[in-house]
Amino acid sequence: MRLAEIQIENFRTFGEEDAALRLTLPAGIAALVGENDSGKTAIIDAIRLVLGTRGQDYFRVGEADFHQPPDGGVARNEIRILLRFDALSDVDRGAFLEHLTYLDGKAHLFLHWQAVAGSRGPSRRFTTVECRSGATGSGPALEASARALLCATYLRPLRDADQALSAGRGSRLAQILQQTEEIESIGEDFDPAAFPEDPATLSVLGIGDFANELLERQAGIGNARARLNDDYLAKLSFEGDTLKGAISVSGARGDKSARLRQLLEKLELDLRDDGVADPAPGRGLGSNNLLFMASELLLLSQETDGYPALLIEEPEAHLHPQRQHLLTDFLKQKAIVDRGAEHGLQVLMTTHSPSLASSLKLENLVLVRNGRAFPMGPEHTLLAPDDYAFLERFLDATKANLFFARGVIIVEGDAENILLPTLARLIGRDLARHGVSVVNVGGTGLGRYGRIFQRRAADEEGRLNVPVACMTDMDVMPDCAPAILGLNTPDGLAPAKSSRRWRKKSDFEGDELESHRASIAARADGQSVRTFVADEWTLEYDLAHFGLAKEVWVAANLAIADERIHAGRVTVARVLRTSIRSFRDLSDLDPESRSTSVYAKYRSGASKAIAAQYLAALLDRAADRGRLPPATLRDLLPPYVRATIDYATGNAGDAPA
Amino acid sequence: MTGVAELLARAVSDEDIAAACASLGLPGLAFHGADGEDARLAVLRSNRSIDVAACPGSGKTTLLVAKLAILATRWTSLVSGVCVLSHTNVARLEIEKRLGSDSIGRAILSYPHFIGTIHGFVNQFIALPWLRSQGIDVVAIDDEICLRRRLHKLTPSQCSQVLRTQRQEGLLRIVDANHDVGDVPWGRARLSKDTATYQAFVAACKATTAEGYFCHDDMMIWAKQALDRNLDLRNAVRQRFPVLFLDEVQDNDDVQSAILHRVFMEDDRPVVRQRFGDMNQAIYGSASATDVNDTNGDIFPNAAISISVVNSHRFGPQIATLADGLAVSPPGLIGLREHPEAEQGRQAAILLFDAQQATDVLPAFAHLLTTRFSPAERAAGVFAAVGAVHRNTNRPNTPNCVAHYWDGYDHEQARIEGRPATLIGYLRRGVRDAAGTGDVHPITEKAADAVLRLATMLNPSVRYPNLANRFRQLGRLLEHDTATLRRFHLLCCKVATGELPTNAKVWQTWKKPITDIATALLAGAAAESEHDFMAWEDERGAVGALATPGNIYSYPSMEHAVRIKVGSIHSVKGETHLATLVFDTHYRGSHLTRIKDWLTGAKSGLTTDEHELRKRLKQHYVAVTRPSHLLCLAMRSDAFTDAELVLLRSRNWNIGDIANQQIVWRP
Repeated sequence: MRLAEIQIENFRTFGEEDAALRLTLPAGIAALVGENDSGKTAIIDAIRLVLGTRGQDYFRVGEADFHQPPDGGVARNEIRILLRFDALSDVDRGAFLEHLTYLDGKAHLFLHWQAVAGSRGPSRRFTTVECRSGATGSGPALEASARALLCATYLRPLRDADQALSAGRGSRLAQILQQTEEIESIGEDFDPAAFPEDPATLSVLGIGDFANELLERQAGIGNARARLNDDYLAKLSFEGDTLKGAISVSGARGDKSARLRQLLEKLELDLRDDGVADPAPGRGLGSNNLLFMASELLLLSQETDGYPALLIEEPEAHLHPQRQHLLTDFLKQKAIVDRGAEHGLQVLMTTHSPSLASSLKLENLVLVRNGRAFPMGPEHTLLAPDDYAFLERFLDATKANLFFARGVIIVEGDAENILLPTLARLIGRDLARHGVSVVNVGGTGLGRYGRIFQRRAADEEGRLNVPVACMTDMDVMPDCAPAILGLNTPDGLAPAKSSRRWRKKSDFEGDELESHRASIAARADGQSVRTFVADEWTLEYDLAHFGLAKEVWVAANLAIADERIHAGRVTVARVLRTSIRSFRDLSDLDPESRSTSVYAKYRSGASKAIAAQYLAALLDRAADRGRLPPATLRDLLPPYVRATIDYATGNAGDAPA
Repeated sequence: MTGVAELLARAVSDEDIAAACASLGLPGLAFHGADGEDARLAVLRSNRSIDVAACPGSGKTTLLVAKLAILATRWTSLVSGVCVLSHTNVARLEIEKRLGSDSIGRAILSYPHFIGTIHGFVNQFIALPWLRSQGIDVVAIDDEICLRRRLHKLTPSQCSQVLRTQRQEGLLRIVDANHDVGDVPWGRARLSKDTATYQAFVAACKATTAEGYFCHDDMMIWAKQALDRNLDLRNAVRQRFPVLFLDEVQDNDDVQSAILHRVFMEDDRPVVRQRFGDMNQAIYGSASATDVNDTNGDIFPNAAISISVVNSHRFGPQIATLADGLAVSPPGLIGLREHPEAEQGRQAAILLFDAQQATDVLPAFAHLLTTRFSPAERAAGVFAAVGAVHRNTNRPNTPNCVAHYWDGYDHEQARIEGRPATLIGYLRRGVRDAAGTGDVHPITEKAADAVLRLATMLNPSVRYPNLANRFRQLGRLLEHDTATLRRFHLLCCKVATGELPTNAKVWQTWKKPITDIATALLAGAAAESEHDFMAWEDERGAVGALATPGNIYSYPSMEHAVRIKVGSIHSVKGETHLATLVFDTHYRGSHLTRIKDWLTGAKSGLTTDEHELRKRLKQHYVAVTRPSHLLCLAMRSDAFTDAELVLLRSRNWNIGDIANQQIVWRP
């Protein structure tokens, strides 16, 4: 059985009708990713409300759970949650026989849960809760014992694993152990009539009962009782009505499960490394957390009946990235491989960890944003099958940042990655403050990353309103460039177009250049994804060309001198002085030739990444000294850089004109 | 967790049986019999499919309940349960009562188990989920409401034509999932299916289905469709209910037998099925025609797996021997009841009367009872006087029906307790159900049910969802009309405090306030006539241990020293009486005369396929196996020759003549 679909209305951030949450879940693991307050926890809590949870994390609907429309209208008074299950096994179909809905020859289980807030006067509030089956909720109410079959295991965020695993009344470990079959099935019960020959053959309960028996029979206790009776009570009794005391072990006569629980509550679980006898003092939170999850999973794996669901909030809590990977691999194994589709464990987790997100397949992710959920499976995005294969290889933890961002800038090189945050900050559009991530995809796959954000049914299911700005080069050089860069043949002419990979402006006639630009932009464009193509050639050329020629020139020189600077053979100040002087030599050139000459530095040894670092520092210093107010810098930036930053930080689907 | 197959396979030990007896408050050896080898033990111990042929008075229900108690204590599955099917909800109540307050035993009454009627089962697990899957919101499963609604959809002239036919609105019953209504006799011919009228009938039925109104038998059609369209539904049912108990199998009709067979038994992986029944007592259903209860060759009882319980604690050897002689397949009945020496040989008699003495039989029988039973016995026990034909059909050759033996007999009152016909009947039912418990709940439920029904009658096009709790439903419907709701509460209050009108005159003053409540429910929709639902109806009598309404004959008339329940043989099926009088009645001839060779012992059993004779024998077998202490047959004195009387005497029938409303015993 598999939870396939969720609809939530009027619960916390989710409203009704268009503002309701609709989510189809992938099989196996579904990781809800997204920024804070996007509604991830509300989804988990809604499922908890309907299914109920094991352990002591019971919760009921509170007043604050009823949706308060953002426009300030009255709070809604009816929460509706719909869950649809499919892939029912024979056992599931039997167990929920009277509740099934048959669609297209397949059995489904719909649960309609609703809570209605009522009140009688200001002081008495109550909420009525009802859970019915049937596609429209017209089926019978679910019996408590049928609902118990659906009960999920819930692991709270930042749970206190230490507490749950230590001994004591109501310990979670005791509960887990009590459900574990071996606890009851292995060993013999204690028979008071026969002294056990080998106590090791006793069951857990047997040992407890045996110990109680021994205690009650123990000589010292017997003596104390005798003295109590003979020396005190006998003397306080009336003739013929002797008072007698008996000493017994408390709880020794409770019923089986109560006795067992008391025994198990004496146990605690801690971690040891293999071969180390003594417990390591104070294992960290992370390890204990893992231990706790392991024991919950053990319990879950014991249950053959019903719907095994695991709801985990932030499993990454206290775990370092490698352990997060290990954990997701383990869950994948448990969820899908071990049990098969019909019996599979279903895992629903929320996460803020790019590491964790990147260790799952893209189709297992559900992006939650502004109260809407966007599953990433192939039926939901415009990604092609080969895109999924590509992204599975290359979508690493660093790139997985994009799932948590309010805006995304996808770039193709280190220089952009380094420069854009500085440029944005200096023109008053701080990327961090706008929650914008810059994702460097290197030379390939810009469009594929963009398509992550493009929905297949955007009109019906809504757009993913994360502005995604893809930034790419135009790669068409000015006509003067081949000569400056020495690309021409010895006779001073450009080689035949077919025999070179580079392009110059004069290769294009009429509006061909503009249609070339449009075709680049079209590689990743549509919905909230926009591609911004360099106005002229490349980032460095354009920066130089539109107003920062000197700075780009100086940065290139610094980059070339970088090794010598670090070796102490030359100072930054000296490189600055000489490069500013040499820049003057370019002042006679026409703008295109000058920009090309600046850019030529990058083709002859200047590392773009290192130069970008120097350029960022130079601009920072200028800004610090008040020489580069935001408006001034803004005017000096290439238009496509401005547009990229504006669009990504606009926090809306629409770019400023 | 133990698998269901495993827990079923575990042998039933003597300890299990003893524990079950203890929890049911039975003696520890209740099922062992004198020799410790009783067939009941074999039934209790069996974990496989068996057919239990259980004779009258064999304690079938007790046996079933003990089996359930044993299963309940070992049941660990959370997803599979035990299914117990019978024909009436009374059987469920009986099982519920016997299981007592033991929480382990009572677990069998709730999820994942099911105890109820075959109809209830088919609806809940097969038909209703299927209909809901079609987007149909099931409002009511009720022949009367559904047929009225269908009628309502016809043109006025079609409507009056339908009502002029013999079947009236019963014409509008569907026979298949296409809403075909089968053959319709129309004037002197049959209505052709291509006519607009026939198609209007079909359309009306389709419309009510879409709106969620159904006749009971419709559900079997939809269940069949569900099974046809969802091939794994059958396996899901078997997965959920790996054990099936069927009670009173002999009364299953072919449709029920077919669907149960298909769901639980057909092809591979059948469930464990234990059937209980007695074909000798099959007087309902089509089974009486062929006697095989045969669906797909699934005959009850299947000789290969059958266990017969032939000893009865109800009656002694005298009744056992005489009754055995009337059985179609004589089981060899053994009567285990022991009578004091003085009483021995006095348990069966044939009372002879002359044609004009018919009305003297009942007083003579009553007088006999006053001489044979103490006042305490008479107060605690039940007496009955029954005949195969109870209502007067104005045929010649009197007496030929129960009504001819007692002027006061009213066949209308003899209807098996169904839904009350009037609103006052509902309120009385509520009062009666609540009797002694102090609970108001039965009254509020019945009152709400009655008012909702009245509203539906006033305007059949107004819809109400079918909620189990009628009182709460009414409360919700009237949520914003607190004045009306308060009037309804006042009504409940008056009924609960014993102010229910006792005559038509007072009832007259109640009618308008109640009708006003129902009208308020219509929310402005037009109201029609409610026919006779609001009419006054005299209260029917109820008698002693059998708190069902019916015809009660009191003797002597003013003193009520003896109260005798009078009715048809069908009406006393399953009952135990202290004494039973069986009237000779006629259908294609005198019943008792036609079977007199079986009374005299000249013949035994029946192997030929004589339908009428088979039916006569079964009905009278049921009748003569009711009494624990005294069985009397009333026959005309000219029914027997002297030679036959000698034979009867030799078979231990006592012979008496009716004279002056008393009995004169022949030597």
